Amino acid sequence: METLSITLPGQMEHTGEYLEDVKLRSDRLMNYFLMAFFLGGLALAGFYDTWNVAIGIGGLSLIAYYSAKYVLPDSSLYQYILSAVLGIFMAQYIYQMHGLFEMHFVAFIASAILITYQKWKLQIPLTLVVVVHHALFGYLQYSGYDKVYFTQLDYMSLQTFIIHVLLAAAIFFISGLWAYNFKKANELYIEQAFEINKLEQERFEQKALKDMNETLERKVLERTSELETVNKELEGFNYSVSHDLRAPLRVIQGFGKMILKTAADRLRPDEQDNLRDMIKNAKHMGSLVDDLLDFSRMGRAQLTKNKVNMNAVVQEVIEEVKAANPEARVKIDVSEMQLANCDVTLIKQVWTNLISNAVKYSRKKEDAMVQIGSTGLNGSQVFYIKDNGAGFNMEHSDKLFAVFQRLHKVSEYEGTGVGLALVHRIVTKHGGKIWADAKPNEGATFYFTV
Amino acid sequence: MENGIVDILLVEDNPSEAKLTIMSLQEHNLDKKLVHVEDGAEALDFLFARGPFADRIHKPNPRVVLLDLNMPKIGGLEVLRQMKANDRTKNIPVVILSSSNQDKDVIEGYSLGANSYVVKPMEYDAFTKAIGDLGCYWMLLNEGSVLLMMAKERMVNPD
Repeated sequence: METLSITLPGQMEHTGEYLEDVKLRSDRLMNYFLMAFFLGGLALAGFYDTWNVAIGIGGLSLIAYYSAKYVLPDSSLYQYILSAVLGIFMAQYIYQMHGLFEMHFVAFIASAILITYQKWKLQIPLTLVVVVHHALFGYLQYSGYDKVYFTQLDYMSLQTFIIHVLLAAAIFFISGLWAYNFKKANELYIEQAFEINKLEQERFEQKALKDMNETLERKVLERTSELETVNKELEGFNYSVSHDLRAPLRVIQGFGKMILKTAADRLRPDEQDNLRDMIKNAKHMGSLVDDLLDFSRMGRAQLTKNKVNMNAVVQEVIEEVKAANPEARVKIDVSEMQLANCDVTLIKQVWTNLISNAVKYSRKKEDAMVQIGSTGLNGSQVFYIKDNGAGFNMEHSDKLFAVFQRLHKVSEYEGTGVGLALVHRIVTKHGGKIWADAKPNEGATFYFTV
Repeated sequence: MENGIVDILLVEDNPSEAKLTIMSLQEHNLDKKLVHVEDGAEALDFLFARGPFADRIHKPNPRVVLLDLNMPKIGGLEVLRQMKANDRTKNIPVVILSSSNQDKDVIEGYSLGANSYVVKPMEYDAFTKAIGDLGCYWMLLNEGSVLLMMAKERMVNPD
């Protein structure tokens, strides 16, 4: 029933508007009826010369009605006054026609007219006026008062009076019932109309939603195909880079070394140095190209997740790193780690880069020390690698994982600035996070989750 | 290279790279019976003894083909495909030499029947070593088959 309670204020508003409309229409109608009653009074005045009554009583009635309506337009008081006024017109007509019985029917006309407001309570003032009028005038005429005209019937007794009043009350009651039923029926009708309107609105919205979804789906397909094209182009680009950039670099290096080997005795020492620089730079650029290719390939690599024994991977990597840096005297301490759900090839790349970095940046220290392990954080496993090497200023930490960004000079610590970007990409691809904490000359700690 | 016996056919379009490869082979003394062709079309002409190489029709096949992948007109993989589809050339060992380490090429190269796939190392020293090792490996490994081939040839064309 939640939907009903949501739409209810709207319905009430709608019903309210409708009732306001009924009131305005009925009020307009009453202008004509009241005018007709007043003119009716004037028309009857000729029979027994009751001009004073027709103008006086009729005029006062109109003044009562319109002044109430004017002074209190928002109150429905004027409607109750109208009800009473219609009763008074009946009394006026009866008087004007010296108790002509048919004039009593005016009460029924009044009662029927009031139905238009769809308010059963409007029958009450009329009923009261009729009862009081009948009782008072009936009793006065019965008692023999002169100039009191209530009826021309000669059998107007208490019994007749009671029958009159009961019949009138029955008719007023029926009119009230009609007014009440009209109101209820109209409210129901409006509710239903509103409900139908709402359903149509909903159907319209659903159609709009469906259209929107279809458009969205089409757009997604378009974008996907665009992305696929772009991705293919990118792959083609990578392919070209790997072929076309590597080859010339290899040739530069190759011929450089060749000259160094065969023509060393003909070159001055500074010329030899320049040649070595040239070779070194070609070599560096070669590493950049290779690293960049690895980096871009990693972005497209598919993950194959398995339960991975991190200690085994780390041990393997440590041996490889030690073999590649035989001169480095760094103590590496590894504590027991839990199994991790990740891609073993990619996670090995992460450890390789992190451990190589830790060794690289701490090897100049006297008692270089690297600690590797894991801790729990919010129920998930955080792996860490801590060194006591060069560290870095945390002010620059935003550049840490960006491609080609380095926090140290190449002359101090070699590198291309791709390693940590690659690590970041792999960790992110796993849905994990990587962050670091460091101080210059005191060391750095890298943390990651997978 | 008199009597037309060729040990190594080097297919490489980049002259500098070719020179470098030849120099590396030289260091291992493997450059004596080497022919260098500059693109895939020329390689196929040589192998199938067509056009300018028509006189090779009765000469033995090279003992190993060092094949570059990225070449204009006919690429390395296409050369490999045609070699493996031809009875005359399908048994010649092929070593793909490429700058590329793209997985797609490795898989396609092997599925077409390449015997080795070598990504040319960036470093000159490593490159020289790799080329030397490769040359030695295939020359020694295929000694038998080449001798057999030469024997066959002699039976067909006794001189």
